[in-house]
Amino acid sequence: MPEPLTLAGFRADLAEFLHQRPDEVDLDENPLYAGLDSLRITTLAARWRDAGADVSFLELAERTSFAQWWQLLSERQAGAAHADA
Amino acid sequence: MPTPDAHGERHPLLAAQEGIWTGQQLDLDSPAYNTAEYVSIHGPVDPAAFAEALRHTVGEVEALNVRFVVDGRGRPWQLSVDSADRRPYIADLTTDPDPHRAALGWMAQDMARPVDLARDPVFGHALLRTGPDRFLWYHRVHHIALDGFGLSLVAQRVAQVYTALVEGAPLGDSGFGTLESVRQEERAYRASKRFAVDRTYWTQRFADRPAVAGLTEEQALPARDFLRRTADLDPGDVEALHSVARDLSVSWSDVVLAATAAYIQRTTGAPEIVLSLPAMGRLGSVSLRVPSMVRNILPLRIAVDERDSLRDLAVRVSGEMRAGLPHQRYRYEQLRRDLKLVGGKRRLSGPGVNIMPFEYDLRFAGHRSTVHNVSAGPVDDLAVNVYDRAEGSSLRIAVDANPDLYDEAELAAHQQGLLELLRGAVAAPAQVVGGHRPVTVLDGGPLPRPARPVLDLIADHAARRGGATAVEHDGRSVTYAELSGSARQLARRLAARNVGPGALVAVVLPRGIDAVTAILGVLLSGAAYCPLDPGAPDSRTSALLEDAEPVLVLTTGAYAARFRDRPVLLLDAADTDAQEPAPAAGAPDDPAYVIHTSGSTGRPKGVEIGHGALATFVAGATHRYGLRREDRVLQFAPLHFDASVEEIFLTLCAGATLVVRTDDMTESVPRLLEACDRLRISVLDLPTAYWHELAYAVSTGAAVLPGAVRTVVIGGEAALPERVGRWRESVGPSVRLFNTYGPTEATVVATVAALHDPALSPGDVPIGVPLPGMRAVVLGGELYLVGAALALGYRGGPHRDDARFAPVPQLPGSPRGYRTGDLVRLGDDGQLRFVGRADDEFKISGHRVQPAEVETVLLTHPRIREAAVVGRLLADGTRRLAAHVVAVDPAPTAAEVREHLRATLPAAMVPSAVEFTDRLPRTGSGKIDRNALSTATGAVDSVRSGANTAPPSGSSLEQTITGMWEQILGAENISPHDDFFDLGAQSLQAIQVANRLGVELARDVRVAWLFQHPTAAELARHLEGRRGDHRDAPASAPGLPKTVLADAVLDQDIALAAPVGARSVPRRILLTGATGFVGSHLLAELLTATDAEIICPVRAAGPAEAADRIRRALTGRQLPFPADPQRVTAVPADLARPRLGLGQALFTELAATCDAIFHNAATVSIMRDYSSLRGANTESTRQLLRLASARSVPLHLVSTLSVAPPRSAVPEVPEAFLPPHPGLVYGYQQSKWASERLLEQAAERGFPVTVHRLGRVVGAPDTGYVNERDFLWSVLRSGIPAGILPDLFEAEVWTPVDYVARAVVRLSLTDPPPGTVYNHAPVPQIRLADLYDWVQEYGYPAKRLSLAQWRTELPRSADVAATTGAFFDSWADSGDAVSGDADPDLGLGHVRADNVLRGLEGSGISCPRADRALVFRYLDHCVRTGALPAPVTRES
Repeated sequence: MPEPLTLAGFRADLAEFLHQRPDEVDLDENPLYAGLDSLRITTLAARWRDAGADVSFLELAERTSFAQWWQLLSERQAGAAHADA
Repeated sequence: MPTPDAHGERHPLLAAQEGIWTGQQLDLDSPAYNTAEYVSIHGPVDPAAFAEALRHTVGEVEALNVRFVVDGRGRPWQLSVDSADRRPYIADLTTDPDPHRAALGWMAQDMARPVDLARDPVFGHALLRTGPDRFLWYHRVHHIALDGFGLSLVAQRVAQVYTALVEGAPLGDSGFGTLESVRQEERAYRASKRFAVDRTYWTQRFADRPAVAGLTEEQALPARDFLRRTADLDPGDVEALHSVARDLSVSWSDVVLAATAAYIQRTTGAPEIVLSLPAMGRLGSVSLRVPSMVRNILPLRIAVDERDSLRDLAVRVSGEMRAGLPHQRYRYEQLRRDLKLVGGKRRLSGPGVNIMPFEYDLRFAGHRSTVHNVSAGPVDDLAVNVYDRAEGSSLRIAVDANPDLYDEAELAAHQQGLLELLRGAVAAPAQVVGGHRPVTVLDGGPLPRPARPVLDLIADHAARRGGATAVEHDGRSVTYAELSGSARQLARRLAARNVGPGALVAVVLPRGIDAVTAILGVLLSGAAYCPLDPGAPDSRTSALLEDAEPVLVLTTGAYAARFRDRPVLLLDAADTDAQEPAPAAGAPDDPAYVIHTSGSTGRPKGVEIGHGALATFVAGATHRYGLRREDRVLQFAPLHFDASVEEIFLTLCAGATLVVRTDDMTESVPRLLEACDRLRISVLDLPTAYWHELAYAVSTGAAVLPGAVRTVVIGGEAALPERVGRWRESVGPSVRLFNTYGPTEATVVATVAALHDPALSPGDVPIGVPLPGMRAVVLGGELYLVGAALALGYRGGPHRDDARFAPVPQLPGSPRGYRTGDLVRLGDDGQLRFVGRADDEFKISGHRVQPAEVETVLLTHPRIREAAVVGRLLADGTRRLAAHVVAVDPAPTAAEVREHLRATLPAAMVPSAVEFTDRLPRTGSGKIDRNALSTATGAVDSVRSGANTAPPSGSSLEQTITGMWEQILGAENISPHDDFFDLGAQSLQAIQVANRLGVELARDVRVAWLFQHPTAAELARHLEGRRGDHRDAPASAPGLPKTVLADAVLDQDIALAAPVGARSVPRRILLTGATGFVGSHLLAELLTATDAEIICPVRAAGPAEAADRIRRALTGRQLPFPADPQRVTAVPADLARPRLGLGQALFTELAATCDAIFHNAATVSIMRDYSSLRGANTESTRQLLRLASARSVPLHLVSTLSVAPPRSAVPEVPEAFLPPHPGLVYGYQQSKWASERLLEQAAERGFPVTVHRLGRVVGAPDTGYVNERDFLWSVLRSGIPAGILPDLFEAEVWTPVDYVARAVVRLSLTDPPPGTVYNHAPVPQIRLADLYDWVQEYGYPAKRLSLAQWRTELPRSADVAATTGAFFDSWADSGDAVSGDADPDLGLGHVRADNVLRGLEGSGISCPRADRALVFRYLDHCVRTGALPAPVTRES
């Protein structure tokens, strides 16, 4: 079983792609203005699918804040394994 | 039947669509904007269900149901039409020996078909069966409708619908949003703050418009096709790539971008690379769910240093991406407009890198599939496409290249080089990847002795030889002791005014003993001096004073009034000041003087030279010039020029005598030389411009060089080779002539060349080698200076040019250097040559122009004495090149001068303005005053200045063109030489102008011409050249498209280069179209009838494929392939391309070696319109005539009887060239008629050309072979099974192919009179009624119907007669309703064939008459090959 995705893990993933520290990641930021592109989002989507959250590139790409991403990921997490950290 | 609905909705284009539309307008015949992929489906497919899935999906995709129309203002609109009934092409290719290859061939053909956006559907589909359980779904869409992501949305939906249809499941909703939502979003964005933020980001990032490096020097318009090389990166390399990316926390695409940038840098040496990145442009956008075209391109600039590793670069790329991506919505086209980088050859970014992460896993009713890209659109230069293949284990890298810029070999080399670099770099990411730019270092060597401060040296002379004369002026003189004494006294006075080390004293004095004293006095006080021109306007002087901020102005009473608000010390006032002992003189790093030069911004900048630098220069230069204390040196330069520093300090430090010139000495050259003689001058130090006069005068004997002169030093500007030559001839090597070069920033002189050296070849004017103590470094052609004589810097606050002083990392220890901005070249003799100013370089129409280069050519004109060429920047930002010349009587005209230039220079380097003047403006030091020239409003500009009296310039055609531009641009007084795009024109406006000009001039004006000829003068010349002197004015021709008429004019420059000699037996024959039905028979006949080598240009990717196509063309038709491989040479070609796509070398070679040309190739299509045929059919003829002209070799054109008017118009078809007529309605006819027309003009110019018009060419009687691509047979094959045949014509000419081949070859090789036309109709025409009777007799009962009825009743089975169906569809599409009384009249009157019959008399070649037996043989063949079912009722 893959490690379930936590908010901390989500932040860490974003931080890695944004070249920020996890605590610097602004969840209200628009992924577009944060400097992400389709390849990076594709890569993130694949990573989160591996972690058990079934999200597609398209679903992430059409959302306009990281907070919306997290909401989607939370909904798609299999079972109740995740706890908001 | 889909027809554009006049009441259909009309919408403006999205910005991205507009870009594509514009691109298409530049070349309407180009199929390059067709994008396509094919999906290989691994499993059985139900074609009917698939067709239904396509029909359904197309109905759901708004973007596919469109046409594009233009309104009266030339603006494009998108029109909604219903295209859902467009049927896919469905074929089973499994009977082909190589079904996959056949499928790819079909796709290539489909892709090559240009789309008429106003009429054609923007898409096409095919389902090709290539194996028992293997289907290829081919999916083509014009880029204006969909981008790559849009295409993927459609593909996913098709898979979904097909699966549902097969499984009987509900189709569900597509989930697609509307195009209107995308348009709305775009409008909202453009009105948003974000838009402004994004614009600011990009315009600032590219404010300096970085030079764009490509892998080739050339540029071209986007080509119609592209070359591609594909390779897969193996999993090991991909893992290494991912690992590098992970280590750096960057994306793997950043690493690929970094490697690409490194590769370009390594290849070009460019310090900065600008890549083009296609960007999906959909994040957070509704367009994620709308199939549409919104793709953008991001320009990515990456500085690459030769010490960079892949890691360095990847991190830099990643940073640049993070900075740019938030602004990715800002349109690339808009940015080009913002930056005025539209048109001509202006570029914003270079090679493209397209990363495609969309691996889509499509399932068709459960069957897996793989997606393959066929084309991603046109390639401007080079594009690297990276496809992330399934499972992420491998990357496919396809490198596409513009075939106008790269050939196969070059592309292969670049692809290999890039992959090697990528593989190597990901294996060793910390290693340097950047290339090493060639660095040239010239070392002036060590100083002969340590540099001593100038004051020490002068004091020594005063102490040891105090009585020696130091300075003489106008009868006065001072000794070294006297000079030293007065200077010291002045220093004490200055010290009393608190002037000492660190202070700056302005010296405003005319040349003279006092000035020299003043300079020494200031230096002795410890302060630095700043000489200002006493004759300068007050405003200039006060500007300099404000900049320099001297503590004191040292001057005389005569000038004192100008400095009332500043502390002044009057040199001529009574010495009442208290006197302080002068402090110690300055240390090496203290400034000695400040001299102003003009800065790049126009603001003068004060160059601060330290004592160390001055001492270094004096030591080096004294040694190099060989200055002795016996010398008497003329002080020529005003003090505010640093040449005065050379004269004063070199002389005084050597203990020699400085002789200050008087003003009257320079009234004339003879006068100066007389004075020099009288004053026993031994060293002349002159501005080069003045010396040019002197050299001329001496060479003509107008003046005599005094015998005492042993050394002449010149400098300040480039010495003209012509004057150097005169000097060397008249003066000889006994007088030493030193050509010096040096910016003020390197203390007067940095390099010196001995021009008296007899080893120099005539015309060669080097600037030599560095002075001792200095080094010259050449980086990318630009000169950097390093050494102790460099200035301290610029005085005052931060200056824009401060960065010119910077470490030179290419040298060990990264010493400080000065970037001169001068371009130099190192000769084989180790001496430098001046090439020009990097920033004088004037860019016109994308060409780099060095004024010096133009001047040099101007001066080779025998009647031009002086010349200066300047780039002129007009108030509105327009740039133009102007030549200012001084001519001797009788002066040439401006036109003659330009003609003279044109003989050696490219057009862009020929100044648009030539102005005659009595003298060129000169600066105080005698240099040509380029600033004055570039701001001058010359006669040529009087129109622009709005003088009412000035007539509009240019011819009336030019005026029409400029008038049109003024209207479109809202500008006034556009001159015929203004580059439209420099004036800010945008592509769309160019299209508007082309349209309007077309209307106004009643002729075709192509948009591409505006880009190729961006000034009114050039365009007018082009238009006039095309019109030529043809007797039929194009506008007078009835109903024929203007393009046809324009194309039918043979260029004036295509003329016989040599007289037509007696024909000998041809050794090399060029045959086009050798793979076709007629062509292969012609080839076979030429092989039989001659011993020549037959060169066959063939559409192919390489020579092997070309040869293979020829072989198959022959063997496939049971024609013998020659045993001798030397007989046939197949060369890859594309007749629609410039030089037939052969490349310059091969084209030239063929022109030099071929003895005869048979031009048989043509795209035969009854459904295409002219624009898509003109390249292959008409322009190819023009190219071949050009090829033929080199050696006046015969050209035989295979044409068609269908160029003739129908029977209803003329009862008889003559064997003669035909004037334009209304019967030329189909593109194919038009293209062949235009070709004939070109030959007609060639014949008038004496070309040995013939035309062979063919009727319907049928198979050889002995084989009964039927050309399946033939229109009539296509009709028969679709009509016979259905039992219906259409009335097409009454009768037509049939000739068997073997007869045709023998007749054409025979007639052509018998040296016919130039311009002979042969109608190959030697037998009576075959009547359609007879033909149908025979068909019936053969066993195919068939009803005869009118064409319209036949079309209606013909079943629409998908796999038969695609071309036939398409042909009739095209009639319907074009609005020519197929009704009973409007059937096309395809019949001809009586066809004369006297030339043919006479020519073949006694040859034994005769044409069999088509009869029942022959038709039966053909039908037998059709049955045998399965093209027709066996007749049921026929009795055997």
